[in-house]
Amino acid sequence: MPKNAVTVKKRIKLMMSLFLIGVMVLVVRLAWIQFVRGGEYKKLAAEQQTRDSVISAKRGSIYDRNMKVLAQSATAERVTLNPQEIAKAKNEDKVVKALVSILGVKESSVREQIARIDRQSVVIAKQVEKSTADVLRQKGLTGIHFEEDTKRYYPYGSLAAQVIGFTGSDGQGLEGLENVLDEQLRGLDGRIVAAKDVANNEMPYKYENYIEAQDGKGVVLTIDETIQRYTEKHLQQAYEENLLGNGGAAIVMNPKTGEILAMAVVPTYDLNEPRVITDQLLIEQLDDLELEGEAYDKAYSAAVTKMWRNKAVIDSYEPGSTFKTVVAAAALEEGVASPNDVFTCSGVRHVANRDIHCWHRPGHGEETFTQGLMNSCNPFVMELGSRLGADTFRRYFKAFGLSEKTGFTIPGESAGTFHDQLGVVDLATSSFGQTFTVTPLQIISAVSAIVNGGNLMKPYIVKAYTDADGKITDTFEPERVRNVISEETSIQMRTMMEQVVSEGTGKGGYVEGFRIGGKTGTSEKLPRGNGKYIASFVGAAPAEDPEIVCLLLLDEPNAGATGGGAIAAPAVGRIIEDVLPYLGYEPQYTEENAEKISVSVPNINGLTVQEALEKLDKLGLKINPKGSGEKVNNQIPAPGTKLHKGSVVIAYTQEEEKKGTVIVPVVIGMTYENARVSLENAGIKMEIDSSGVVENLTADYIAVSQSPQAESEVAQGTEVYVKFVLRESD
Amino acid sequence: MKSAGRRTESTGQVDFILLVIILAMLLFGFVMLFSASSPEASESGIMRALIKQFIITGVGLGAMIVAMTYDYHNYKTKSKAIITAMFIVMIAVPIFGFASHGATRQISLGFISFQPSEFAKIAIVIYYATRYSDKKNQNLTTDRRNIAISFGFMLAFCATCLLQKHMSAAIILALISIMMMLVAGFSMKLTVLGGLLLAGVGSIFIFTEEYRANRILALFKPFEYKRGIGWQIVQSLFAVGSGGLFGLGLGQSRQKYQYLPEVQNDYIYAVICEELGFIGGIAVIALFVLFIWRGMSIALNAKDRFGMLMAFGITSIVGLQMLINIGVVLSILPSTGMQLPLFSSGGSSMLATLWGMGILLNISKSSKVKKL
Repeated sequence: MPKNAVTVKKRIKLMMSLFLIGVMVLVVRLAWIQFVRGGEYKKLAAEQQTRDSVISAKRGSIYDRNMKVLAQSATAERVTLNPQEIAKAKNEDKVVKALVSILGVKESSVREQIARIDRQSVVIAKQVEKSTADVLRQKGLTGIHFEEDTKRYYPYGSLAAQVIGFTGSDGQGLEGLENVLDEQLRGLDGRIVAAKDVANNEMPYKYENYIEAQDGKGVVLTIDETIQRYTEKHLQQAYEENLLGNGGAAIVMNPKTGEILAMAVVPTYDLNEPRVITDQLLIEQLDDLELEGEAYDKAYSAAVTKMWRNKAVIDSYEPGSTFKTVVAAAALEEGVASPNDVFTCSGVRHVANRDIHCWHRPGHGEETFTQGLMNSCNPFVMELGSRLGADTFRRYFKAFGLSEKTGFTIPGESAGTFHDQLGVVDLATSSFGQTFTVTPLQIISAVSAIVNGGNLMKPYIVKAYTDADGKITDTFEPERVRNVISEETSIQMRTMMEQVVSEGTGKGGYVEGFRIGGKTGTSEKLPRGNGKYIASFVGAAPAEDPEIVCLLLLDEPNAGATGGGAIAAPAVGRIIEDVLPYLGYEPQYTEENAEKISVSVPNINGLTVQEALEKLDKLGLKINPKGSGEKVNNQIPAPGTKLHKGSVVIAYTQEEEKKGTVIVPVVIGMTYENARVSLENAGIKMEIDSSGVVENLTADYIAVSQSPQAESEVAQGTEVYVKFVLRESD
Repeated sequence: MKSAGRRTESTGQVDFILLVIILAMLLFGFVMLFSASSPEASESGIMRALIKQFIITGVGLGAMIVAMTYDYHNYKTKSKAIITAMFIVMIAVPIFGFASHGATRQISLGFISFQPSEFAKIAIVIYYATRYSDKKNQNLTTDRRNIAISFGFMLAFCATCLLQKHMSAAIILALISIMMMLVAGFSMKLTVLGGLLLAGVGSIFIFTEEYRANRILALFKPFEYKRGIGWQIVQSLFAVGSGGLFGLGLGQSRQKYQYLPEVQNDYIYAVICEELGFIGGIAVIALFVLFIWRGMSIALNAKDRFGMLMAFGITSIVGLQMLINIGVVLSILPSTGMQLPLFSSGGSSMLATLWGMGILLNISKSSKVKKL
């Protein structure tokens, strides 16, 4: 027993030491975890224990130059699910049904998300409208949660779509200015760091850290909503009329400042639904491909991506004849030719070993500088090019900013391509705008420099930044890049360009009542001979001192006419016709256009008053019936007389009282039209005293004498002679 | 012998140091349980849990006092009855018991449920202590038949645990049995060999059950399985690691917010380390070291062989559970449902442990250990 007890004691002591070893292992391990690895574990633990909530900064608005809101952010909601709660509540089917019917999400994708049982929160839909979220909220389903989100709204839909661009589902700018100015617009998100338990509920600890959000800046554009709308309207019309295969673009610029007043691209899209093609022509083009399934989806998304492109800035093209203005301006500036120099066009020019034809094969014969430009004559500009020489040509090309990016605030701006070395043939063909490419923005900037007195202005579209409340904080001023040509050359160019429109190839851009200068351009796309063209026109108005320059280009017209003069010029004309009055310019009719807008008075004798009214109304004339009879037996003025639309024709009816006497009104100081109306209203015919030998009496002429004199009493129907002279200009 | 026993009984003092240690652990445990309970859903829920624990502790202390005054020699005579009854109950558990967490370990008595395996630990100590203190069986430790009975007995109990899917109880029972055999004088070679054999059988059990094998895997690469089987290991490491030297302060545990599983139970030590840091962690270990030292001293100085073996066995149960529990929390050992004695909530464990404490205190009365 004692012996045995000793053994027991020994063994107990052995066990005690084993326990001690075990305890020491624990202590070492405890120290290791807490002191060696502690920092790391503590950090990882803090990571999982804290919820980093983002306080979204409000994205800045985008305004037009008159502070009309083009893009703004509003609060929306984000719908999330807690798969674990759904699993517990066993309401998966109900949840799926509600989400599919209310949010229009795919059933399979919702089920996929719900299956992620290890997650406490999965996002189902972003940027859900509050009203839609409310419908879902009312269902009161367990497991569905709502978080704050923001959504971007574009009140004008497709207006300036390619310029403004749009944002993605996380509010990040994806296209256009939304993308380039993302940093400014986005602002800085704030954060709340809070302690949370495993179920994402807050823990009662003071871990909190609050960083306030800084709202994004507002951006004021140089774009004018009204001008943009006009530009888009007429570009769209040209697009539809000419069945453009590759879209089109138009820019309206203030040549004096470089401000972009409008920038339009077709086909266009609704910024609120950027992934949906609404353009009928584009849909037809897609349908014509006769694709199905995946191939169709691929073609569709390619078309979508393409319609997002800001063609006016990104796509470079051969400018063709619009470029001739640059060559002409350089030639005048360099003194290698003057407006009255005479050139000869035989329809072809021999350069090196090649014959380069004029677009007008029979040739233009003898022509002055001005006429050369009016005719858009190729041999003429080749001559100018050769007189300038390759070096000078290149110098001007560069000076007009055609070999460099304009530095415009749009992503993907291209600089075009230009030869490093200019051979004689290249020089010749370059003179009429071939063998190199530029962007529409570069061309309009160059033409602006030509007409604005010779200064190349940097085109810009961001006019100012505002704070979150719309108060302007920074303004951007016009920036002159360099002086390229003299004021004198610029004035000469304006005169010639006006003649291009009034009498030359640019006639299509002519608008009654306005003086417009311009230049057409038609370039055949590569490879030559495929029948694909880019028709363009650049117009400046008013021609004597342009306030706007408008470039419009139509890519691959498919409705017959392909010439810039035929299809692009009228569209530009229509834009200018709308924009100039908006800018405060009233139409001033010249002799020629007065002719155009006048109508010939029809014979209304023998018609009833009603019939006469209808007949005159069709022609745009008004009737002033005199007498109580039914049928017209006399009219003033006589049939065949030319009258402006809106003028009044007096119709005398049969049962008129005996012709009485009338008092001659005062017409001295009146214009032709006013004089005629006031005399005819008094029942007196006006005859023009032709001693002045004037064919067309426009508003510039005023009455200086009348016979019989005013206030004298004469019989009705008496003729009064009035003499008009050209008003002296002050 | 009988008169001697009566003499020591009447004159002997309960070991006050041991009593203080036990009470200190209970108090400490109660405070930590309160802290770990605070993230429970509602205040009333917390109160209910605390009241329950309070009642259990009270009943346990009652049991301890009863056991303290009940002469431990009585167990010797009732040993066979105790162990037979225990074995029947253990077998009955998987048949009549109810399942929880995928295992059937508890049995219901209508108003209260209890976990027989907790009591089996004490019972087996009584059995071996009785067996090896029998003076008639001097050659018990060398006789092959006796050796076979000893191991067979152990295996039978382990088997009942495995039927309950209660690996940790099986391990404790096996370890206690082997330790008792060793202390009783079994040859070292034989016992170690038997232990290895047992470990071999055990590992078959581990690797044939996927969730057990995964726990081993998770132990080595917890972060790779963070979202799954490594979750509790990682969370436990985070909790302990966050504590540093002084901890985040009492009640300031973040990991108790449902990151840690079984926070009032198996992982109470992780919360202690997180809230009270290295200091708190060491304090708990120190209390157990003191306890082991005191318990072993009582054993070494026990009046007779039976008391010696009993005291050793009971002290070892507590010590082993502590080593395994903290070993799991500190990810030295694969996770298994082991409670920290006197700290973890749980009625059966508390009752059984305090019953054991009572026995130990009763032994201390006649032990010649130095008392205050």
